[in-house]
Amino acid sequence: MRVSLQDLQIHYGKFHAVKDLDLEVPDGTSLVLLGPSGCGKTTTMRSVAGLEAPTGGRITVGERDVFNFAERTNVPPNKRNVSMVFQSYAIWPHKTVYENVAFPLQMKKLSRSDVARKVGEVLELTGMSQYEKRGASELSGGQMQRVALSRSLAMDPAVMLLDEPLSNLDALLRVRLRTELRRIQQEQGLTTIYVTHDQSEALALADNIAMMRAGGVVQYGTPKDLYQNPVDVEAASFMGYQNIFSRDDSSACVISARGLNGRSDSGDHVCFRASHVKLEATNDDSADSGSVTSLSYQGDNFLATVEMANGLIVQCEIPQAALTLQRGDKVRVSVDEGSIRQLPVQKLGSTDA
Amino acid sequence: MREVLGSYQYKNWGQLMRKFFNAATALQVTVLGVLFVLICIPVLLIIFAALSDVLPRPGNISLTNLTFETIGGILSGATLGAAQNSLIIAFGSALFAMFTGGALAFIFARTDIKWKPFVYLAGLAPMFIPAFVAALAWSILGNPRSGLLNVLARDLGLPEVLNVYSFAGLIFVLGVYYAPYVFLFTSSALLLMNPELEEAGRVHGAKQGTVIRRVTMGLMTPPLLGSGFLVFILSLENFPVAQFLANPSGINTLPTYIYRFMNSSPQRGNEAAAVALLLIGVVLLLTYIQQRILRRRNYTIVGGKGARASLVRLGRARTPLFAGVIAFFVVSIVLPMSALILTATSPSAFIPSVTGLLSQADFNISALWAPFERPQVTQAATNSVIVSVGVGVLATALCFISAYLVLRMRQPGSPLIEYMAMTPLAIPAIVLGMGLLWTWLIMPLPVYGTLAIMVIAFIAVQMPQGYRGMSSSLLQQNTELEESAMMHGATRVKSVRKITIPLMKEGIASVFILMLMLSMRELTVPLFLYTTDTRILSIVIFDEYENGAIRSASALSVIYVGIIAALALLARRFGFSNLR
Repeated sequence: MRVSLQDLQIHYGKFHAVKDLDLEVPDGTSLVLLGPSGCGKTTTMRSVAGLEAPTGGRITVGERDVFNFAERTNVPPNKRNVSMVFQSYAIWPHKTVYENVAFPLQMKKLSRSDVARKVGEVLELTGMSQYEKRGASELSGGQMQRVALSRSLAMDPAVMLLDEPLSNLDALLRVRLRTELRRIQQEQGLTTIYVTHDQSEALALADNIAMMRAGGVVQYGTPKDLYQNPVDVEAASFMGYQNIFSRDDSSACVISARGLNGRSDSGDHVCFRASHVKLEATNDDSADSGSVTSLSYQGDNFLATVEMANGLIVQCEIPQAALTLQRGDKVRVSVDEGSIRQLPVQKLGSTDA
Repeated sequence: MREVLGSYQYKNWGQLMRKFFNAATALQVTVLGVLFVLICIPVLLIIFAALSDVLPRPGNISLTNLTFETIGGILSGATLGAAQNSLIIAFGSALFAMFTGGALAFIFARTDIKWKPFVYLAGLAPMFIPAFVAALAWSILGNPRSGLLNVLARDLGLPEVLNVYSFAGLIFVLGVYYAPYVFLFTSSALLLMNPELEEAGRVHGAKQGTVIRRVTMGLMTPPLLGSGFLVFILSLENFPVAQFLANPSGINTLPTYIYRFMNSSPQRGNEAAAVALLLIGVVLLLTYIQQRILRRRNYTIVGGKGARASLVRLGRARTPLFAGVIAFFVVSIVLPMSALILTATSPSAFIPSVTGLLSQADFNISALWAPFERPQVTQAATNSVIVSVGVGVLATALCFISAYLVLRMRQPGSPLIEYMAMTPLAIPAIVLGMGLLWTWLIMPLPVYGTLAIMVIAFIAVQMPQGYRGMSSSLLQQNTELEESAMMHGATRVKSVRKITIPLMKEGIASVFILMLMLSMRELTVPLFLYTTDTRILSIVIFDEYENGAIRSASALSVIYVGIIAALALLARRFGFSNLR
């Protein structure tokens, strides 16, 4: 079901954790709240669950107000039909897998046979059928994660909340489970809110991303928007832009030489990804050349660090096949104008979604 | 580089390792030998005595003296009756302690009750009164004819109802004064619990009450059951409370049975040992069951984002519950301490009317110090201090070396040190006391009748607590700190002295104080070991009470509780909570 947050405020004493937040999650879509720790993303999510009491604003799930400060509405968590997958999974260690998943169904007072059928269904969906009788303390991290997901799916929630559910897993498993999460979300048409500080996770899982900072949203859009057009330097760095220079620093080198100064962007910083840099061997000492100071193998390509004549350090990704370079080689550096973003350090204020 | 290598006095690594290995092995063999004499020989002698018809004396210990007649002899109705009584009392007091301690823990940790520090004090305070002092105080309060509460009831025209010389009385006293174990275990588990586990229950559709019943209670079973078992075993093997409260009404328990056999003349040591074996058997069986039950329930519930769980709003139940906490505090601390002070300072041991006594207000506070005018008492107090400090120093050193050998040296056979150090947990104090007596009558060292035997015995009894405290403190130390000292040229001994011990200062201090306090509290083990010149405070209180000198026993008890409470507070300052 559709979720909307309007003018949400959360204070902890004098600390204003969430400020004037407006967000809309259309039915059946996935919203990712992305941001560094302490930006208010978890607090926002917990207030949708009802585990945190906001100090102002309104939260609507479907057509129902679950929280409305003006009307003093605050529906308790168990009456919201909102489920949550916790960072620690919160699998009850004194219950078996079956008992964990059955819990929300028992709370709905379903008959024994309905409970069994539904638990069977979701465990099938998450691939945990054969572990039904296991004690929860005998599971691996990945299995616990699947159980937590099953338990949340079992209650047919209006909205499913996920609080950094993959952060405790190792890298390989993280990628596998993230694909699976996305599959289940799309197959079941779930409305989800997902909290993470990992940009690749956000890109892979979101229909829309809200990038948060200091209790507000700084940028809202599709993963593609955020990947290609970060709103400021901080957002760019968070989205994995490796090369970020102030325009003054870069003016003496290749980038300004290609006429970037003429562009109409307002920003005083230039940002571009390592993968958009092109290198070619050269012999002259022009301003757009530098020397390779390190090469590191990344699998499909190499990451080369180039020190420009004026001391600027540029990160470049070069396909493995194209690599003929050695450490110390002189190279000419160029970047496609279309791949360069000129951005302010930090956008003032925050845009609303 | 040359300087670093030069500080070693050995030509090469092989020689160094060999030398080092030998020193470590020698130390390990010494510790194993000490623990064997301290702990294993007494246990073996008990087993021998139980399976024999002669007492273990030099020349007597031989396989030809083995017989099953003693064991067969004691397996009569009377023994089994005592065993049954012991089990009833232990079960009752464990349930009682689990209920009161668990309820107090929940109220303290998870509700919005007012005055939380007081609730914590109420949960913990009974620990400051040793169970035998509590039994003494409650026999003053609740003996069927002249108990102060019964006298008060008579004053007020009410019927005399209280009789602590009963199963109910025993269960009540043991339950109340062992409840802090349950309180401590459970409240710390409740405070450390990952609140996400409860929140998960809420978002998946359960009301708060349901979450507490189905999630919180489930998670609390391991600490609750674990501490309940501890109380069960402590109650089962407790001698003095049973002696004070069960004996007057002719209820036999296994520990009082053993004591009677030992104190009859002629001494019936073989029967005592046989009963002791039965008691050990029950304790071992229980420990085994406990581990079976708890093994699969070792939940790791700590974790999450470090948020505190939400508090249950008590609403209208807040005031009645707080009144309940106050009532518990009054019953466990105020009443018994008042009874002791009243008895000690009133003009006569016989108190015909409590209201009359209070209206006369004829108290003599200096009477609290009166017992110290007698040389026997000052002698006992001095002995207590000497023994406690001696045990503190020696046991702390032995525990440190043992824990170090087990955790850091990891030589073949070092786990054996741990097993031996923990063995006394399964041996009831009264049994170990008996075994220690026989051991040191045989040993070619003339320690019997000196304070040294007290020190030796206390070290043996308190080894598990000391070892556990020391090893958990050592486990918190990163081994690399010491290793880096060795990499930088210090010998192992020097690294331990310069790095490990200074880093463990607090842990070592807390073990020392714990040993000091446990030595002060101990009554049962020295019962078989003391002589006229080597009495200690606890023994004097026991003797005075048994001989009917109630006022002097009361006065001494008040001072005694003061000393123990001070030591306990000091121990807690160093972060010690597990006082068994």
